Amino acid sequence: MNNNKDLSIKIVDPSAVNLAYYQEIKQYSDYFWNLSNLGEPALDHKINMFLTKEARLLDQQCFDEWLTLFLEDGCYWIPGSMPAASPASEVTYEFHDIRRLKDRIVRLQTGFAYSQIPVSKTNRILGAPEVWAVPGSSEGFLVRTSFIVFESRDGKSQVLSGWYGYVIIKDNDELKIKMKQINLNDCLSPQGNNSFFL
Amino acid sequence: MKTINQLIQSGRVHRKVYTEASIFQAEMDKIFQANWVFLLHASQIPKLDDYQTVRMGGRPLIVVRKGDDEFQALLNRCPHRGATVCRNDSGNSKTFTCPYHGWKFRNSGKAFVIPGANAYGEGFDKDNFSMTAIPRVESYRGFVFATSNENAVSLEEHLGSARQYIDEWLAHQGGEIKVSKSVQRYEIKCNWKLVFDNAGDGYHVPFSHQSLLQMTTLRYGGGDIQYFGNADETGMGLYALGNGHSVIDQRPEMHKESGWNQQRPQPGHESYETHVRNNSSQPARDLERAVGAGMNLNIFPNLLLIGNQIQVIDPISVNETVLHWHATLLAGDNEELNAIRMRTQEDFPIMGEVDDVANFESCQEGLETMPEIEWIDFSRHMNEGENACYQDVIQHKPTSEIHSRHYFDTWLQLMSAVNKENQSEV
Repeated sequence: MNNNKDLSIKIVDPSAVNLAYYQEIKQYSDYFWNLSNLGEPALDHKINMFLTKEARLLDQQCFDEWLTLFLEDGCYWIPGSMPAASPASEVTYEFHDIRRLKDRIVRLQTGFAYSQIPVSKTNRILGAPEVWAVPGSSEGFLVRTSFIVFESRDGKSQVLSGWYGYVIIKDNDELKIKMKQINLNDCLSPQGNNSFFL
Repeated sequence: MKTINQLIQSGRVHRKVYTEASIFQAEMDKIFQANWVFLLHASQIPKLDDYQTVRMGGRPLIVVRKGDDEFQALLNRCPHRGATVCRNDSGNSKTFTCPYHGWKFRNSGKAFVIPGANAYGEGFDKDNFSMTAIPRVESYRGFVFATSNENAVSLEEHLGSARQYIDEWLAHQGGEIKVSKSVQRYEIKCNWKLVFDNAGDGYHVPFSHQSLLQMTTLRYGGGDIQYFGNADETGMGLYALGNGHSVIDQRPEMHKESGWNQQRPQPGHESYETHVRNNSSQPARDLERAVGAGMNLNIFPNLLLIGNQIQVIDPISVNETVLHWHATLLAGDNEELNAIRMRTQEDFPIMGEVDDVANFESCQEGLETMPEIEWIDFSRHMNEGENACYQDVIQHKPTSEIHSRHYFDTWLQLMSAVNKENQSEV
């Protein structure tokens, strides 16, 4: 352990987060509470398969590959309230840009993250995802789906439930996650060891 | 059978102090009722008649704002049959109505409507059916405490030498704070004292948080709390402040040059720094306000000011504890600063605390499952000037276990107090 007297932090992957960014993602978040204004939801096979893959990558702990599903200015967000307050003015359970999401993954990969020794085994069951176009956007889609995550670790298990609110961006034929919002039904209640990914 | 006195010895504590339900019950009365206990921060109930429900030593309370610096705490139990009167977490109301039989109470606790009161006959006095108020509620600079002990010293006297650190902690925040409405709350399968022990433990950092430190080295070449790697050779200190309070003062290391540069970059790091450089007349100060206050300030038994957060220890049973992490914002108009403060404060619970919790829970398991190993050791850096009176501040090395030795001294005093129906044998 060095004392870092001559500390020089090299910043990797600069953060895209500023007040305008928070405004944008809060707007996406608010759409999920006014879905009847957005017309009939659609089913989208590609998006369905994309989310199924995302769930599998997390269940298989393929975190590096999972991270490639996000846009460079994407975010992973577990609000502490429902509907979600703006992360600019209230704390969340987790709100990561890609840089801090990588920090979180690398931390788990060091082999010293005792909250994940042994590692959590998870299975997540998604409901059928409903898809709406982001108003005024040709490439952005709002996706809402219920989830149940069953987690087992060290002979104990827990069930987490709620719904995911995604913003998925279609760039030509490729899909990327701009926002993954994890809305826990019991976000007002004390949480257990959620050191895996939801 | 051991008496309470025999469970606390020089540099060691008996496992039963963490595992016996009877001791836990006694703590809830003798420590969490007879001693000052933190309830909430005044900004959680900013307006007249705002209320918030909390627990004080397991007892559900309604805390009501009654004036500028005046608060009322009521046991949230209907005097009639025991139902929970107020079922909401928070709100604004001059009255509370029990949902079971419609008894109505003013937010002072006084009963004013008892449906069909004449059925109780003559001599019935509804004043005998008020909600029970906690006799003393006092606040210090927005921190609201209560005690059921009418003879307790004043809150200011109880806080004693810790007041100076509370003042300095607030000064780091620009003087006045408000807490985030959303709260990070965690349920931990351990005795509440394992959480309190850890808050004043400068020894565990490079071990329990090895993953965080190693990640920070791998990705950024260092930073964050790595100065704990050789803590005893730094300028940091651990101070026993009297009445069970203590502080690990990390400021000599964390704020030695720039806490902002020392900190691993958080979401919004670049945009906040640009904002400050372009707009602030005091850029160094405004960058420092985005990072932690550099203290673990532990107010016995249940308030921890760590970094910029207000943590509240909420004991549920002998081996269950809820920990509430209240993030703080600056009270004024500081949108950019408050946004980065939210990101910096939510970092540690998921990057560091989770591993501490895994260790707390394994300690609890070890203490419960192997009764033949009786003692927990707290003797690190012992006998270094500790025989001074505990009302004096005692400085120790940051990895000393004086924090636990010190609060157990207060603990023993409180637990040994004779009360009418209870002898101290367990």
